[in-house]
Amino acid sequence: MTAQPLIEVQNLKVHFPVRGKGLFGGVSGYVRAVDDVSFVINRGETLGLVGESGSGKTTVGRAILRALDATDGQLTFHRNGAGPLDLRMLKGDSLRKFRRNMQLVFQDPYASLNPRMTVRDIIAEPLECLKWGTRQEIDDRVREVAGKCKLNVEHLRRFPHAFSGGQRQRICIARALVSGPQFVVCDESVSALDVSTQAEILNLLMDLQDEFGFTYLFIAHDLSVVAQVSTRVAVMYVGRFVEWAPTRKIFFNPRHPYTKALLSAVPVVDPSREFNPFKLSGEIPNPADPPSGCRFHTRCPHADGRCKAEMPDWREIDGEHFVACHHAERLG
Amino acid sequence: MDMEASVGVTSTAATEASSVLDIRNLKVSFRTDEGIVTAVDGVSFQARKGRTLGLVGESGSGKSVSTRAVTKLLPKNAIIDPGSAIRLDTGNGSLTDVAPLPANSREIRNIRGGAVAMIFQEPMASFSPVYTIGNQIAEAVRLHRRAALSPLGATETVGDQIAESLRAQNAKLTKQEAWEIAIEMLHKVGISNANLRVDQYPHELSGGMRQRAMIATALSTHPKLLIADEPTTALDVTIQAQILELMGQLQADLGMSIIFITHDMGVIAQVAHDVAVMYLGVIVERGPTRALIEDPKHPYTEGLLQAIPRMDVLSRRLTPVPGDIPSPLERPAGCPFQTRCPKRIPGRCDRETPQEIGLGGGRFVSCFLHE
Repeated sequence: MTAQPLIEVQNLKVHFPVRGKGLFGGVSGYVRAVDDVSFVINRGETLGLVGESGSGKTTVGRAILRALDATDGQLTFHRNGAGPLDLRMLKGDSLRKFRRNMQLVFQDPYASLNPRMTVRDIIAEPLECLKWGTRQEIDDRVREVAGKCKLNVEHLRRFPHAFSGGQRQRICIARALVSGPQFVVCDESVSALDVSTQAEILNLLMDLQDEFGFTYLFIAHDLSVVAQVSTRVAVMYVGRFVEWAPTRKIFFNPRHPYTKALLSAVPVVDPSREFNPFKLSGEIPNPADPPSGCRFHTRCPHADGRCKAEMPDWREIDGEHFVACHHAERLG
Repeated sequence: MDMEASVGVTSTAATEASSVLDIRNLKVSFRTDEGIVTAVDGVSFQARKGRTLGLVGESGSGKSVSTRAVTKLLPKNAIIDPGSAIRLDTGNGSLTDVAPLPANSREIRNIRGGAVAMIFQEPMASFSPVYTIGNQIAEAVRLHRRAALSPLGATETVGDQIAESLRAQNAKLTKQEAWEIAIEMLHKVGISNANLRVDQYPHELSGGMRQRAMIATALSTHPKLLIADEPTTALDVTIQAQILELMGQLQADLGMSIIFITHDMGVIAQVAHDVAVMYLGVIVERGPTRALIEDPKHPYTEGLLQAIPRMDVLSRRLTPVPGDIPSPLERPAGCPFQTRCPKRIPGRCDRETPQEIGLGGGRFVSCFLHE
């Protein structure tokens, strides 16, 4: 089966205005949260999106879901049999109807469930918003999805407080999947969970993908989690992609110095392996005032005059392996 | 070995000399509307000078509660069982039992931030937003460097250079002196332009910077023991690597003991000399890090290690620990892990509670499989 694109993002920009002081203060600048990002997610695949906090990962996800308005660029959803759809053109009712195809699972299962609604009502809410069917039909659908998400159907009348973190995250997943979406954004969906439960939720997400062919955008800061679930991985730094490649290539043959630094900074469980992180001095720059040239040059150990002056091109260095670095070949 | 195998036996002279903290049979419970909830149920461990003890476990396993008992930073409804012993080196080289001291006593207040310092997961929540960083470090310095000369901490170890330099100072440090120490500490933890940063408020610093400032505050009083409760969990990996390295350096310089609480086995593997694995308020296994990770003895430790996603094996299938951690209100009878244990011995594990067994090489496990 050849890969079919589902989500196509071209030159996506999301800029947030920074206002001056006072009630009527004018716009004094822009935070370039996402600045010229292009990528494709194929049907049934998982794109892992990693980067430090403030790199714009969440903003990319929200822009695709139309939870945020993009400043510029193209967002295309390739529908099955019905041709491509420009997501940025959707408005009002048509946008609301289309949302059944794109859903989101949040990070904190304690904060994202209404404590005053029963689990059944939480999972049914998307269907009720879509006027999906009669109460009986909705009930049946909720039971079916809850079962798929390994929730005890007997517990649907309980309130969220009665559930553990892992079970709550299963409720969140059921809520996201109930409308039968094709595309699901998992924004740090396992970061708040304990390792034992985390493994269970990751397995569940992968099983559901195998069964229903979901396409995921998996946003995480934990690289080892991304390594397990992703088909491809994109690394983001201050609003831009620095590297994008199939998972194996990112983890075994990273080309961008930032990717290398990120990988080396993850402490490995093997105590016989010496932990020697590739030193990155300083912190992530302010996206309202990004550095000139390559945005990573302020922290990069290989930076030279060219990096400071010229923004590196986004280029294919190897089959399906894209990188934005002047020195990717030299550094190997 | 047999002597150490039974819980609650007084330690030998050898461990006495190097231990900064020696906890024996600690039990902490909470009075709640639903009844008494036992959060920590008979925990024993030691923290040694110049070494890092890692405490790992899932949320709700009692990691934080057992260390907060040391400084009595527990909610008002907490009860420390009278049979518990928390023996702490408060500065004079010998261990004093602090378990019976009331939470608001002068002695405990001297220990808090003095002999025992703490850093927490969320640095924004540990600083006051209305005082500058410098003010907050200087306050700790003025309170505790004076406290070092109070009766409780009057006799410092001779080899301790820092204590010597303290003694050289006047009993009351002036604000100016405390301020200079604050700048020096900020510089020491790698904050650039420390003399400018000292005048900034916590919200003006980034997450990594704030955690550095938190470490500076904690270490400004030269504690014997640093309790780090998930200090890097909220940070990015690159910043985490910086903070872990910094803590390692400072430990080498100051010779303090660190208790490092985390749920990340990777961090433990890299920073801890010894590990204690907690589950539902008990330590199921403890020992030197390397031996414990390479050859886990308790089924829970084994499961925990297998559940960790790895970057070098892209398997796509993970091995979770089956089931959920039981609610502390419904503690299982017998071994606390028996409800999830794949190697459960029916009729034994659900009836009797396993005692801690010494395996040699400083390793201990609470499991019937190793009898």
